[in-house]
Amino acid sequence: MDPQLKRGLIEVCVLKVLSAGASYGYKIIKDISPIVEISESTLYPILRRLENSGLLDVYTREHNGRLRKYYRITDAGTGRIAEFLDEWKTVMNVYNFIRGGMGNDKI
Amino acid sequence: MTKSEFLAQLRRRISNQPPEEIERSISYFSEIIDDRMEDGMDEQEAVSSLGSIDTIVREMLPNDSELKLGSYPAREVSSVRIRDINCAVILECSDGDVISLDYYENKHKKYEIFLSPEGELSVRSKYSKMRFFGFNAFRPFVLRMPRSYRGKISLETGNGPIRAKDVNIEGSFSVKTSNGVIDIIDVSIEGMAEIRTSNARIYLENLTASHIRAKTMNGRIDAISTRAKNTVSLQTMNGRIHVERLYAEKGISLVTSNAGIHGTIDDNIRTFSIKSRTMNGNSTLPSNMDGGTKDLSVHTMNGNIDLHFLK
Repeated sequence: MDPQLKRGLIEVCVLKVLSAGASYGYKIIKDISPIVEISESTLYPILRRLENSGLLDVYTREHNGRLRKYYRITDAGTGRIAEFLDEWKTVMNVYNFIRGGMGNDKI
Repeated sequence: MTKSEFLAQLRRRISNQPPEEIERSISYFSEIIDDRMEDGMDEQEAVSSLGSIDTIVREMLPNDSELKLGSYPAREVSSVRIRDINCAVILECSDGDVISLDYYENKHKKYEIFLSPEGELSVRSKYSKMRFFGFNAFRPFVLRMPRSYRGKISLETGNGPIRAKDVNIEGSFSVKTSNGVIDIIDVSIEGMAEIRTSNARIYLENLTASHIRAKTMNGRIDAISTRAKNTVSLQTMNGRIHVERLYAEKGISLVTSNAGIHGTIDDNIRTFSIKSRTMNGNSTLPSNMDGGTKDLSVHTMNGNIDLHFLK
């Protein structure tokens, strides 16, 4: 998959995961992995970008005697999910068109 | 690899990032490893499942410019020559027996890298449009090599600093920039060390070589615990020269124009034949003294000469 596209999709997946409640790095990876392949090092810049654009915020909490960073979705983040779903209506239309054009048996 | 080994390696590999970025990345990966171990993995497993450090570094950095990595077995490389411009060049030691290059390319700047059949590794930056991007507009070029290297090293940039630390080089060592400072720390060279900049200072500490020649203009020169099997020559124009425990087997030459020359020489004054002169200043040295087998030549125009001998 195009890396740019993949990053964009993972961003929204992260937001979706967080919409169910605040979470931390390792847990986010576990939750997303079944949907799209992701590593710790790819998640890192994505979390940074989401934080910088105000779609999530970060707080630290003690866990088993060490600190763990938790990520929490913001209202802007929730808005971004809605926006994604709206934008991708067009993409889905195109997908269906192409899929129809190729004939279902070829896919 | 243990967690602390991994984090130390990661820290070294992203050392060109701003300090708060480094701490953020370290705490992120530290937390991931802890979480994996809490989930039942052992330490080695938790670290190794993160993947190779090269991939990690490449993926975690911002994607506006792309980090490139090159790696060559050190025994196949007889010399390294780097010609860059508008960015810092850093030489440091690495674990293992490879010469590695970390550098960034973007739409303005690319590198041509060529390894000749004779083992000459040549690196040259190319700009798509030749224009001035400002000092240090680009991320540093980092050359890593085994702590001991048998070949020859030549580092060249312009409008950027050069830093070399913690390496032993059996061949010669040449460092050249302009408008950028030079720091050479804990470096030992079997051959000759030639160090040159302009409009910036030169700082040498624990540098040993057969000959040491350092030259700048409009910048000061510091030489701390600098030692040569043959000769040391430090030359500037508008900057002071400061030496501490300077030693050379055959001779020392210190020259500036509009500033002082001061510090200590790790030797006995009687081993030298001295020629020294300042026009408008005081001097602790005789202007002409024969006797010793080594030459000591100290010259300035407008400044004091204040040199002392430790033996």
